[in-house]
Amino acid sequence: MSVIAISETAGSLGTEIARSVAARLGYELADREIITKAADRFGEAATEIVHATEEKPTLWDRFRDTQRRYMTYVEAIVLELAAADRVVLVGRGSAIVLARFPNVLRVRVTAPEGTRARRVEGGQGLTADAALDYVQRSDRELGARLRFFYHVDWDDSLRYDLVVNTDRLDVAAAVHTIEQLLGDERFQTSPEVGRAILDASLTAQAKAVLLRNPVTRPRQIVVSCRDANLSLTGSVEVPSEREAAEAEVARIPGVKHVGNEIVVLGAVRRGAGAA
Amino acid sequence: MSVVAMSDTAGSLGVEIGRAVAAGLDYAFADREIITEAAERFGQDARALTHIVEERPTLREHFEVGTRRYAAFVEATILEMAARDDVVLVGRACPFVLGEAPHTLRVRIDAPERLRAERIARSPGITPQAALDRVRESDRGRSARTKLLFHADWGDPLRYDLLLSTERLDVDDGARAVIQALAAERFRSTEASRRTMTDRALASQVHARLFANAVTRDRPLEVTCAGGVVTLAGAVDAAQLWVTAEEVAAAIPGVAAVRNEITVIGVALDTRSEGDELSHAAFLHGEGRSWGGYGGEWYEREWDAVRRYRDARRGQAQESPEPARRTS
Repeated sequence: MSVIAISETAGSLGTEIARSVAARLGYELADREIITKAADRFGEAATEIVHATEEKPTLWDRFRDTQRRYMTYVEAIVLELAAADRVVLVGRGSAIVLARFPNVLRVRVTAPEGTRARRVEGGQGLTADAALDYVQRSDRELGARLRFFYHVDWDDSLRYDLVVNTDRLDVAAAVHTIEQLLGDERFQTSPEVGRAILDASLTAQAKAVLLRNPVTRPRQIVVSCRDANLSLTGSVEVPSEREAAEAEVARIPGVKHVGNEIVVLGAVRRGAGAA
Repeated sequence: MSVVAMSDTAGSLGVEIGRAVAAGLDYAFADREIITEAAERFGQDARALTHIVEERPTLREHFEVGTRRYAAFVEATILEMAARDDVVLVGRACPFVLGEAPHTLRVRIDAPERLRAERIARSPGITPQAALDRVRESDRGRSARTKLLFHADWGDPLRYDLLLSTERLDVDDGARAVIQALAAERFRSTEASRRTMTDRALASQVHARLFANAVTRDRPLEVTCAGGVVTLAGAVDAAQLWVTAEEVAAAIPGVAAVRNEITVIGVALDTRSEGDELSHAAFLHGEGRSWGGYGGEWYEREWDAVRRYRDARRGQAQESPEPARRTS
């Protein structure tokens, strides 16, 4: 009963390791599905979300909040999967998003550029130059994304509990090492941690649905959650926005109760004008 | 049958994990002992060696040959310990010295700075600020050393096979992870890989001994070793260097034979009379030479070396099918 978040670089064998760990432990494997699911659920085009999470932000992108919106969706999905427990997540910043939960084993899989390029070359039938180019571009783009969204250096080994270099260690050795660490009690999901992840997941989903809805998107609404009880604070302009916000988050599966403390600023202003 | 080379940061619990791995596998363990042993062996002051390997280099040291000499001593000791197999070595230099070595698992143990400082502050008499200063100073020093001696970034994950953060993992977890990774076939020593390691260790010891010797130090000699046979190569300007280098190499335990391919510049091989062809250049100059000109005992020793060198070269020339001798 645990969660493993794996960060990998192209050709590092991270996905192979994740697949093997998931199969051996009977855990769910979540890698590209995360994005697809995010797209389905929040009704935005998958390709755009792929762009938001995978490619290097252009200067223009940096000024588009749509990028942040998509990232919020992805985070919501990552947290939701983690809340379900018994899952191996690969990529999409999951090791960073889930860093604050003590039951999550954060693993980074890497290997020297040349080794990875050779693997990509063999696996995808690319020429040596194209493979190296692919690996380097992938590193740059994924690294830039994480810096842009989370202000972290994904190569910083202290972001992970374990860093495996697959240049000399093979998939089996990496899998066994991960399993060995996972056996420790501290990585078992305790009821308290389970609740904390669920709350974080519901908070993230609430933020995501409020961003998806064009009515609530421009408003400053703050979401918090405790024991599946959501509370909304912040301010909107008109009462209908307040109601829309509550209606949106009340539909999220798992939410027990919504405490709506949103202030309607328009009403306050009008009240002040009348007095 | 493996070697674990670990690098740790101050307060990272690396030494504790190293000890636990050694205890779990019944391996030998060495950390600071490496330095002490290197110091004893090569007759250097242990404090000076610790400084070379662990602390931040001073500007002057970047230009000093002494630094490289000490580094050669430490390297020789690490390689010799690794050649004994079944050993856990903890120290900044270990993963770099053993970087290309077969059957060596390179591990790095680290933790966030704040946490390491907290651990150090638990010792009596250390304030939190002093602990943090110590951690930072240690990191800066060790990182600068690694750069100077191995031209490497000690925090580069690709320099290691496995990196563990003890932010959440405890000593037991770390030890179990290392032991598990070590189980891979890749890290089990074989007859061939042990021979390679022994040869590297012997070459490195000859190199260090040549550095430690007053006559041969700072001479650019090339040392290789295959199957216990050490080959010396290079060009020197005095016959005594040729003799001394061979003696130094032959004295090292484990060296089966020495092939001396050093060339002495300035000694003509094809002369019949010995009185007039030895130029001043063929005498040993500098720190190894005794005072008092070229006469006396020193002169005799140098002549003796020249004769031996000549005999050896002529012997080789006669053995070869096409003697490269000039007739005049």
